[in-house]
Amino acid sequence: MSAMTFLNAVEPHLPILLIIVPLFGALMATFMRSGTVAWFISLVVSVLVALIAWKLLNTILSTGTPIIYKIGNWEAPIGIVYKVDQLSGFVLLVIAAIAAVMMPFARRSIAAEIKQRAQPWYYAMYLLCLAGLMGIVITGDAFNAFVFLEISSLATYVLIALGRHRRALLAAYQYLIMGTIGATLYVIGIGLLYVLTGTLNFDDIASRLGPALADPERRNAVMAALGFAFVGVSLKLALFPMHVWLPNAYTYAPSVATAFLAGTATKAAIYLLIRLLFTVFGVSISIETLPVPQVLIVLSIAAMFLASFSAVFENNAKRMLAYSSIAQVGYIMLGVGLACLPVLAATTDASPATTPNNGMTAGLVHIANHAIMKAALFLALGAVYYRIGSVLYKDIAGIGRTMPLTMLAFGIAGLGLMGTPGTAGFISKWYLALGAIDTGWYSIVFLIVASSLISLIYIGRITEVVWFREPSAAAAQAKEAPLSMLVPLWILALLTIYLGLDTRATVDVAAEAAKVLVGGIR
Amino acid sequence: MTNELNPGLIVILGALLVPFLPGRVLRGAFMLMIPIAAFAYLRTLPMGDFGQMELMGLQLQTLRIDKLSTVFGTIFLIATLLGVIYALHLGDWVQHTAGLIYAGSAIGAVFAGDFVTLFFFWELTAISSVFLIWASGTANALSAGLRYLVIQVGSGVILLAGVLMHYRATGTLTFGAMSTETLPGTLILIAFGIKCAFPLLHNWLANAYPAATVTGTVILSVFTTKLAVYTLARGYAGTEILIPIGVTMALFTVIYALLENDLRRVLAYSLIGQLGLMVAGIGIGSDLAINGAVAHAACGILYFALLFMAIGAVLHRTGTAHASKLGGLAKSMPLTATFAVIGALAAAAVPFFAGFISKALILSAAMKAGHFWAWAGLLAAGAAVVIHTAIKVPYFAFFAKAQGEPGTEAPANMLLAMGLTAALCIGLGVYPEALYSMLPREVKYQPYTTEHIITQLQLVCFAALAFVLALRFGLFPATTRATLLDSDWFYRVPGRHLAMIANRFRSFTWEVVADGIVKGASKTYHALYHHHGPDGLFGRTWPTGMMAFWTTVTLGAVVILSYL
Amino acid sequence: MSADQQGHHIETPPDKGTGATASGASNANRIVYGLSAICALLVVADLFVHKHGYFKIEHVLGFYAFFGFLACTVLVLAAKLIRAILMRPEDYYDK
Repeated sequence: MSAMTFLNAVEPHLPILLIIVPLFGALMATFMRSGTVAWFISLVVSVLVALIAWKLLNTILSTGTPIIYKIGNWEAPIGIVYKVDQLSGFVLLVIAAIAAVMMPFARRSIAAEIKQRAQPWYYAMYLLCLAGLMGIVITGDAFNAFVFLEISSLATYVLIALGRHRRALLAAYQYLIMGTIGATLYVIGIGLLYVLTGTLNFDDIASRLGPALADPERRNAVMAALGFAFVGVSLKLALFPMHVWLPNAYTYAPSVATAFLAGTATKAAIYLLIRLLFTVFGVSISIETLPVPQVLIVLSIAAMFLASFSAVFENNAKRMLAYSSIAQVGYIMLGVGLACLPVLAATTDASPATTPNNGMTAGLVHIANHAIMKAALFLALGAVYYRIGSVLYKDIAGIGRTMPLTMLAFGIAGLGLMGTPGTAGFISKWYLALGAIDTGWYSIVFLIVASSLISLIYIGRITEVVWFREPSAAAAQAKEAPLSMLVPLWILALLTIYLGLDTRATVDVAAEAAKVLVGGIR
Repeated sequence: MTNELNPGLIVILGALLVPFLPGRVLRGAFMLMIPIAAFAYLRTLPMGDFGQMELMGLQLQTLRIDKLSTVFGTIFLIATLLGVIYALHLGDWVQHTAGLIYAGSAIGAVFAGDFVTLFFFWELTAISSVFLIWASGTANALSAGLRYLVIQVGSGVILLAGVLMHYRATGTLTFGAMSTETLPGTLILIAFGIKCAFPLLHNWLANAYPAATVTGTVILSVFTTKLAVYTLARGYAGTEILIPIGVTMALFTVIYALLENDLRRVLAYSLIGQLGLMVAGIGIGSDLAINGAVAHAACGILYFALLFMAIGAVLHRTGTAHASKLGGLAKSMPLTATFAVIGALAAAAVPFFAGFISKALILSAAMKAGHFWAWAGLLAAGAAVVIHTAIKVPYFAFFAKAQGEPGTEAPANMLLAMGLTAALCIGLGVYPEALYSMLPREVKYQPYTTEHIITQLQLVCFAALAFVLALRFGLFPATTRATLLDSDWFYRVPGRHLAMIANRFRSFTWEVVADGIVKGASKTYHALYHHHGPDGLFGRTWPTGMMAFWTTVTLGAVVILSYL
Repeated sequence: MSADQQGHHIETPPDKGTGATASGASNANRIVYGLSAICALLVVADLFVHKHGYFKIEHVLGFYAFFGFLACTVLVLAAKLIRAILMRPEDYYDK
C-alpha cells in the first residue's frame, strides 16, 4: 500500500530521477574506498536507470503524447524542460539497458585492469557519464544539452585515461582537445540561434525560426548556426573525417569503458544531431534544400568504406572494432541522411505522413542494434583481455579453442555486424536499403551491399585467427571467461539473434519515432 | 503447427547440439539420427505452402512442399547422411557442426517459399561452409576460404539487392518464375549464377573445394551448386540465355580438367562441366529438360560425392591428391579403388550406372527441341568426361605406375559411406523409376532402348580409345604441378596490387592527403601552426592538429555549401 | 618427391625402359587391342539398331563412335596447346 503510494508520488518525477539517480550514485561512489562497493552502487543505479527509462518509454508508447517535465515548475522559455517523446524514449532505453547489462561484467574486468585506488573513481566517472548521456537525450533545452554533453565528455576523458596502456593518456588528451572543439562549435551554433530567436528551448527555437528565415540577412545566420551545430555534434559522434580521435580512445580505454562508450556515447550524439536536424531546423526549413543531407550521405558512405578498409588491415582487435564502429556510425548517419531526402512517390503506396520513413527507421534501429552488437564484441574482447592481457591478433590466435563460449558469442555478434540474415544487423541493412530505394538512389543499395562485404572480410579474418590459427602461448593457457562475464556477453549475443527474428521491440518503436520525426516535418 | 517447420531447421538445430555431446560414439550416433529424423519428418509433410509468418511486416512463407523441392530435399538429406558417415572418424566438432549447419541451410533454402527465407538460408550456406575450408588449416586454405566467403556472401548481397527491388516493384516476395527482362530479375539471376559457377564466376569453386578438408570437400561438392541449380530450375526455367551459358560451362572446363594435376581440382572442374549440362537443360525449359536437369543434379550429387570420397580417402591415407605423386594404389586400397571405378562409370554415363539415366534426359530434350549446337556441344563434353574424370582420376590414383608411397585401405566409416554411395549409383542406374517417379514434371521416358545403349557405349568406348591412343603416342598433355590461369587472375593479381595500394593508402593517407591539401590549399594553416608551436611539439601533436584541421574543412564545406 | 618438385611429367613412355615397364607396356598393348576390338564390335552392332534420332547426322553409321573419338582427340589436342598459355609455376599467386 505504502509502496504503491510511493510509486504514484514518484512517477511524475521519473524524467528528473533519470539524471539525479546516477548523479547521486556518482557522488556516493566517489567516497567509497572499495571498488566492489562502488561497483555495487553502480550496478543498482544502472538497473534503476534502465527501469526508469523502460517505464518512460512504455508510457510514451501507450499514450502517444510526449512527457514534458518542467524543472522547478518554470515555464518553457525561461525554465529548463525535459521532454520525452518516442525518439528520446527509445534512445534513453537503449543507452540505459546497454549500461545495465554490462555492469555485472565490469567488476572483475575493472578489478583486473584498474589500480585498486582508482576503482571507485572509475565507477564514479562511469555514473557521471551515464547521467550526462541521459541528460543529452532527455533535455528539451539546447544549452542544457551542451552542459550534459560536457559532463559526459569530461567523464569520458577520465574513463579513457584510466586505461592501463601508457598511450591511454595521449588518447584521452586528443579526445579532450577534439571534444572541446566539437562542444565549442556546438555552443557557437546554439549561441547564434539564441541571438536569432531569443530562446534555447528546442521547440521554441523551431517555431521562431520561420520569421528569421524569411529575412535574407538573418537566413545566413541560421545557416551558419546549422553548420556549426552540425559539425560540432558530428565530431562527437565520430562522423568521417572527424573520427580520428576514436580509434585511439577505444583502443586504450579499459575494456568495459570501451564497450560502454562504443555502445552508448556516440549514440547520444547521434540523437542530438537527429533532434537538431528534424525537430529544430527541419520544422521551418525543408531539409532537402540544405546541403546537410548530401554532406551526410557522402561522408557516411566514405566512412563505411574507408574505415572498413582500415579495420581489414588492423592487427589489434579492439582497434579493428573501433574502425568498424566508425563505419557503422556511417550506416546510421546514412539512414538519417536518406531520411532528409524526399521519398519518391512511385516507390511507396502511402503518403509519407502515415508510413514511417525507411531511412530514418534504419538509422534508429541501427542505433539499438549496433549498440547491442558492438557492446557484445567489445565485452568478448574484454573477457579475452581479462584472461590473457592482450587483444593483438598474434596473442588471441587460436583462442576459440580455449575460450569457446566467449568466442562463439563474439562470432554471433560478428555475424550481426556483417548484416547476416537472422541477426539484428540484417534488419538495419534491410531498412537502409529500402530507404535508399525509396529515395531513388539505387546506387546506394549497391554501396551498402559492397561495404557489408568489407565487414565480412574483417570479421572473417578475426574469426579465422581465433578459431583456426595455432594457439599462441597465451591462448593455449587461457581458461574460459568467468560466469559474471559470460552472462552479460551472452545476453547481448542472444539479443543480436532475437532482434533479428522478432523486430517488434526495435523496428516498431523506431518506425513510430520515425513517423513522428519525418512525418511531422512534411 | 507440427507441419510448419522447415526440415532444414531440424538439421540446423541438431547441428547446434553436436558440440555439447560427449564422446565420439554418442556424437556420431546423434549425427546419424539428424538426417534420418529430418527425412522421416519430410515424409509426413503434405504438398502445399506452410510456415506463414510475419517479419518486419513482410509476409513470409517459410515452407513450400512441392515435387521440385521434395526431390532436392530428399537427395540433400541422403547426401547429408552419407557425408556424416564419411566424416564419422573425425573428432573435430567444429567441422561436424559447420558441415551439418551447411547441409541444413541448403535443405532449408530448397524448401523456402519466399525470397527472404531463401536469402536467409542462402547466406547461411556461405558462412557455415567456409569453416570446412578453413578447418584444413593450411595457409592456402585460409586465403582461399576468405575469397570463397566474399564471393559466396557477395552472391547473397546481390540476391538481396535484387529481392529488395523486386519487392518494391511488385509487392510480393514469393519465389516463383522470374523474368530476365527486369533489373531485379537479372540481379537475382547473377546471384544464382555465382553459386552455380557460371563461366567467369566459377573460379571460387575450383579454388575452394580442393582447399577444404578431406571430409569438407565431399560435403561442399553436394550442396552449394545444386542448390543454385534448384533455384534456377524454379526461377528461370526456359530462359534461353542459359543454354549457351551451360554449353560453355560444359566445354571450357574440359580443358582445365584435362590439364590439372590436383585430382580434387580435376573433379571440381568436372563438376562445373556437369553443372553446365543442368544449366543448359534448364535453359531448354521443356518438361523433359527440367526433369533431366533435376535428375542429373541428383545423380551428379551421388557420383561426385563418391569420387570426392575416394580421392579424399587417398588424400587421407597418402597426404596428397596430386596425380603426379600417386599411382598404383589399387593394390593397397582395393575397395576404395573399386568404389572409385563405380563412381567413374557413373560419371561416364555408362549404361546401368546413375549418370546414364539422367544425362540421357537432357540430351534427348536438346534434340527434341532442335538445339543442334547445344546438343553437339553437350555430347562432346560428355565424351570428354570419359577421359578427364572417368579414366584420368582412377587411373592416376590407383592404376598408373606408383609415384609415391603406397597407402593403407581407407577407414571403415569411409568405406561404408563409399559403399552406400556406390550402391545408390548402381541402384539408380538399374532402376531409374525410383528417381523418375520423383521428378517435378509429368513425362514418360525410357532410357533403356537398344539404340540408346549401343550409341552411348560407342561414345564412351571410343572416347576411352582416344585416351589410350593419346597416352600411347605421348599426345596426352602432361599433368604437372602448376598453377593454371583462370578467371580468378583478374582479381587475384590486380587485386593484390589494389590491396597494397589500399594498405599504403591507409597508412599514409592522412599524411599524403593532408600534405597535399595543406601545402596547396591552406598555407595559412601551416604558417599558423608553425607559429604556435616548436618543431618538437609539432611532431607529437600533429595528429590532433590534423583532426582539428579536418573538422575545420568539414565546417567550411557545410557553411559554404549552405550559402550556395 | 624431388622429381615432382622439378615438374617432371608423369607418364612413362611405354616404348622405353626396363623389364618391369616392358611388362607394363605389354599390358598397355593388351588394353589397346581389347578396347579396339570392343569398339569395332560396337560399330558393327550399329548396323542392327534402328535409329530414332531427330537429327539426320545421327543416322550416319557409327556417328556416336566417330563423334566421341573426334571430340576427345580435338579436346585433348586443344588442351595440349592451351596448356602453354595457361600454365604458370605452382607458386604463381604467392609471389
